[in-house]
Parts: sequence; C-alpha cells; structure tokens
Amino acid sequence: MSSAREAYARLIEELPFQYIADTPTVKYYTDWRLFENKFNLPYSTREFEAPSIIAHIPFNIVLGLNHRILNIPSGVVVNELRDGVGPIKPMSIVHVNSKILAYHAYRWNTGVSISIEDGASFGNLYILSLGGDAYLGHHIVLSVGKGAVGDIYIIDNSRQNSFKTLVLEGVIGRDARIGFHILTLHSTKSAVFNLNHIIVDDGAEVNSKSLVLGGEMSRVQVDYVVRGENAKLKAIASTASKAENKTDFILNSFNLGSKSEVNITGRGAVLSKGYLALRGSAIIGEEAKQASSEIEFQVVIMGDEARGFAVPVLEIHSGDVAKANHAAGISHILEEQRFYLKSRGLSDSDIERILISSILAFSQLTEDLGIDPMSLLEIY
Amino acid sequence: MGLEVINLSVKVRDKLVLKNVSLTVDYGTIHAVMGPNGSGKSSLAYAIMGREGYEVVSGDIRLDGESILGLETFERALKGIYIGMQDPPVVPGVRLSTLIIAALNKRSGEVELTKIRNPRVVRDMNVVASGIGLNIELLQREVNVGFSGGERKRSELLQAILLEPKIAILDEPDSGLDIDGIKKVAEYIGDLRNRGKAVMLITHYARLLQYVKPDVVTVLLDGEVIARGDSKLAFLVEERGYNEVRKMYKGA
Ligand SMILES: Nc1ncnc2c1ncn2[C@@H]1O[C@H](COP(=O)(O)OP(=O)(O)OP(=O)(O)O)[C@@H](O)[C@H]1O
Ligand SMILES: [Mg+2]
Repeated sequence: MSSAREAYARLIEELPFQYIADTPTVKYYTDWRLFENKFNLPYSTREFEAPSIIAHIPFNIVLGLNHRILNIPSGVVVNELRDGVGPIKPMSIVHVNSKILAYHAYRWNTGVSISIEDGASFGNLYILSLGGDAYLGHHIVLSVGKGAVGDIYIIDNSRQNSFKTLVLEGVIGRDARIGFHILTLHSTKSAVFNLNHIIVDDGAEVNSKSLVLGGEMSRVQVDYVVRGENAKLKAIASTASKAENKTDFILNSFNLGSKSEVNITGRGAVLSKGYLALRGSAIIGEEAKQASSEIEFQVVIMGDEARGFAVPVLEIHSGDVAKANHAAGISHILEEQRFYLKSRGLSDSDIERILISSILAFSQLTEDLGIDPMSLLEIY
Repeated sequence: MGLEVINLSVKVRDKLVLKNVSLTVDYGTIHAVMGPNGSGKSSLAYAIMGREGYEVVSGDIRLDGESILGLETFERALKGIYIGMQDPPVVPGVRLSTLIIAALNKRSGEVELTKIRNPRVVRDMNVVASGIGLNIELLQREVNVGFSGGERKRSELLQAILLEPKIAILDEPDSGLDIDGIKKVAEYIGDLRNRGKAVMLITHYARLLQYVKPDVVTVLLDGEVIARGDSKLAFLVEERGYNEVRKMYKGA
C-alpha cells in the first residue's frame, strides 16, 4: 500500500460524511449509516456477471475484482490505473473532503485510465462496473481530446449484499462532442456510492443521459463543471425507487465559463415504501458572463408510504446572466389525471406501469441501450 | 344504435347536476349539446364516461342497446367511448406519443403497452397532427405540459381521430382556438361523422356550428333539457339567449 493511501486511511477517521446538512427539514438525503455499516466488509472474493437485461451490451471495459480491457475502438487508449501514474492521477480532480471519498481513495481495488485522442471519432465506449459479494472499489480517469466525438456509457451494477464505490474523474477537451451516460442498477441489498466529476472545456458539448434504479442505498452524484467558454451541457435524468430502495441522485452543475450553457431535467417516481431524492445545485460562477443555467426536477409519488423530494437549487454569483431558471414539482397522481388516462382505456395498473416506464424512459438511455424499461422495474 | 342517455339524473356530492336528461347520439351524426356555464354539459360527458364522483341516481346510459352503468371508465373507453376534455390535465413524465401508443396497444390487446408495434402508427400520428395544425414536436413532449389552450384542444381532437372510437364526446373543442383553428377543427369533426362515428359536440356558442352543421341540437339549462331541434336551434339560442329559448319551448 502506498503512503498516499495510508494518509487516506487516517482521513476516514477524521472527516465527516458531510460538512453541512442538506436542508433544515431533512438532515441528510443520503442515509450514511448504511454505508458506515458496511465499512468493515472485506474485499469481494467473487464478482457477479452482468445480469441478462444488460448482457447484450458490447462492453469494452469491465471492472470487477480486476479490470478487463476488451476490444477498444481506435483513437481510444486504455491502461490500468495505478496510484500516482498517468495523465490524470487518481483523486487529483476530486478532492477527498469526506469520509466516503477517503474510504474510496484508500480502498479502491481496480481502475482504468482512458485517453481519447484529439479528433477521434470513436463511436460508443461501454464501461461496466460489476459488484461483488463484499466490497469493491473502482476508479476511472477519463481524458477526452480536443474535438473528439462519441458516446461513453458507464454501467454500474451490483447484485448482492455488498458495497461498492465508483469514482470517475474526467476532462472533456475543447470542442469535443461527447455523450456521457450513466446507468446504475442495483439490487435491494447493495450500498453504492457513485461519483462522477466531469470538466467541460471551451466550446465542448456534453449530452448526458442517466438512469438510476435500485439499491438499499444508492448515492449517485454527477458534477458537471462547465468551465469552458461557450461550453454546453445538457443532462436528462430518470430515476425510480420502490419498496426497500433508497436513492439519492444528485446532478450538480457549475457554470464557470462565459457564455456557457447548462440544462438539466430530471424525472423520478417513488413507489410503495420507496425513498427518492432527486436534487442538484446549479451554480453560476462570478466569472461566467452571459452564462445560462436551467434545472428542473419532477417527482411523482405513487404510494401512501413513499417519500420523495425534488430539490433543484440555483445559486448565481455573476451579475451578468443570460438565463437562469429552476423548477421543481412533487406530485401525487390526481383524480383528474387518473380519470384522463382511464378515459383512454387504461386501467389502474396500466396507469402505474405507464407512468413508471415513461419516467424510466424519459432520459432515453433505455432506448439507446435497447432495454425495456418495464422489465427493468420488475428486476430492480 | 349508438349512444342513448335515458332519463338520467346525476348527483355530484349533494348536488343534482343532471335532472332526467334523455338524448340519443346515432352513428354518422353530430349531436350538439349547448348550454350556459354550469348547466351540466361537462357533467353529462363525465357521467357517460363513468367518472368517479358523478353518481347516477336514476336512469340509464346505453351503448348499442346495452347498459354501460356497471362498467369502469377504462372499460367504457375500450368499448369505444372517447371524451375530449374541456380542460385536460397535465401528465408529467408521459409523452403524448407514448400515451397514444399505449391507448392503441391496449385496444389491440398488446401486453407491452409502450412498445411501437407498427411504424405506421407513428406516421399516422404525424400526418393527423400536421393536418389539424398541431406541431408534431408536441408529440414528443409530456402530455399537456406547457401546451397552450389551443394546443390542448388539438391534442384532444388528435386522439379522438387516432383512437377510432365509436362515440366521440368533444367537450368544447373550439374554446381557445383562433378562427382558422375553428375551421380546421370543424372540418375534422365533420370527418368523424363521415366516417360513421357518433359525435356528441359540447359547445357554448353557435360559432363552431357555422362550420360543422349538427344533425341534432339539445339545449341544457340547470341540468335539464329545455329544448331540442335541428341546427337552426343553435342560432336561435345565439340570437335570443337561453332564457328566451326556454320560454319559447316551454309552451311547445
Ligand atoms: N366535481 C364537482 N364538484 C362540485 N361541483 C361540481 C363538480 N362538477 C360539476 N359541478 C357542478 O355542477 C354544475 C354543472 O357543471 P358542469 O361543469 O357540468 O357545467 P358546464 O355546463 O360544463 O359548464 P361550462 O360551460 O362552464 O363548462 C355546476 O354547478 C358545477 O359547479
Ligand atoms: Mg363544461
């Protein structure tokens, strides 16, 4: 174990999970106890295969107990990630400022460094992160060259009573046109911490589709740092939570570049006894002249004991903003909506299925990946 | 044959909103229902559709001679009754195209409601939407979310055309539309009749009826039928007002 890693071990003791409670009414949207309870798990001794619903995806990189680099499109270079080696060193973009990040930095067991060459048109790159029977930690660093074009899919899956941390640090180079998509599917017994931190440079455009489903406690966070001038980010997110699931899905954006544009939209559904927070902070920095940021979340609650939150926060530090909007809605299905859908020939159970599958399909990720949203819900 | 409403009385909460109403809508005809605000027009449409809270106190509603009172709303819809609502609600999360596909799949007994089985469906959707002046981009938007009043009305009519009901109840399909919109909508309503549908057309004003001539006109006031006649009745109502018409017909 490197000495850098030893330093993180100490930080696990010293740092809190979060410095600031989420809101005055809700202490934390993430139930950190569920992570802490699994902190003592040993490393997994087996990894589970991709479930059949995603088995058809032609994965290029698989992370489990180890890393496997399969056929890689031209223009893409993938290497094993090692501490302190490579163009982006692990934990050099993301700061270790919380217990869980210190834990990840100390314990992650395998990872890759992905470099995409300038101007490469690489098509699709599919990365699978598998869960095991105890703890697994995966780390990805991503460097996308100038003007590169293609779609990157991160598929994060866990099956058992397990714990996984997955952290991705990336930079999207100037004028690149990149799809950065995240699918996380977890069984009801797994605790998952998934953090993606993506920096977007001048003139680059990032289109991001995501779907988060399942997990005893899934905390999935995406930070889009739109630091480039004229850089654009468009993110669409879908999520649902049922029975035993707790999901805290966070989409944060930081407009730092002038004339940068951010647009984030999310839809969520909570069923039976599920718990779902769909939230994010859209922050426009002081230097971001003529920037625009829009963030909107809607959560539908479909169950008397279900709990749902939609919390988009807009924070503006610049005096010169082109556009800034935030909106949220939490709703129960109203009699009026139910009657309307029934008058189209749909029964109560059809309505529930359609609402949920529509919400799951909203981000269009299921369509991209050829997954039927309804079957997803039956599994997760 | 078609839709028959027989001596129907309906209560909402404790209020009698329809009193002994009878009317028939035959196939291949348009039956206009007129009346001032609060006269019970929408309540009649909801009662036919079996909406919760609209309690039938007495009378019957029959489709092709059979009572539908024992059926749930969605069963009535599947039997071929359609309502284009006066003020349709938003359904966040569900795209308009998804709703239409699900409704069509349900009618053809498809289990996977949101799967597109036949690409023709998508083409038809686009063709009809353009025909009635609805921007086809709205098909990909969430149902009624951010739709203007006129767009909502066009979306309701679009569904009436695509779902091929036997009975189309259209509750004020003209409100919020400009004059070109009204002409277009009238043209498509006329087309429903030509294709053998029974159309119950609820409207405040005779304006729409200038462009699509109804076969029968029924006038409601305070939940009661006060007059019935042919298309001329609509213009008489417009000219004289509801109270005057009531007096004229009371004598008759
Ligand atoms: N859900 C309800 N709750 C309470 N009152 C109702 C309800 N629905 C209808 N009513 C009452 O029943 C009466 C008839 O209403 P209805 O909506 O059927 O009239 P309408 O003829 O469609 O009017 P408008 O032309 O304004 O649409 C009104 O007095 C109305 O307030
Ligand atoms: Mg009405």
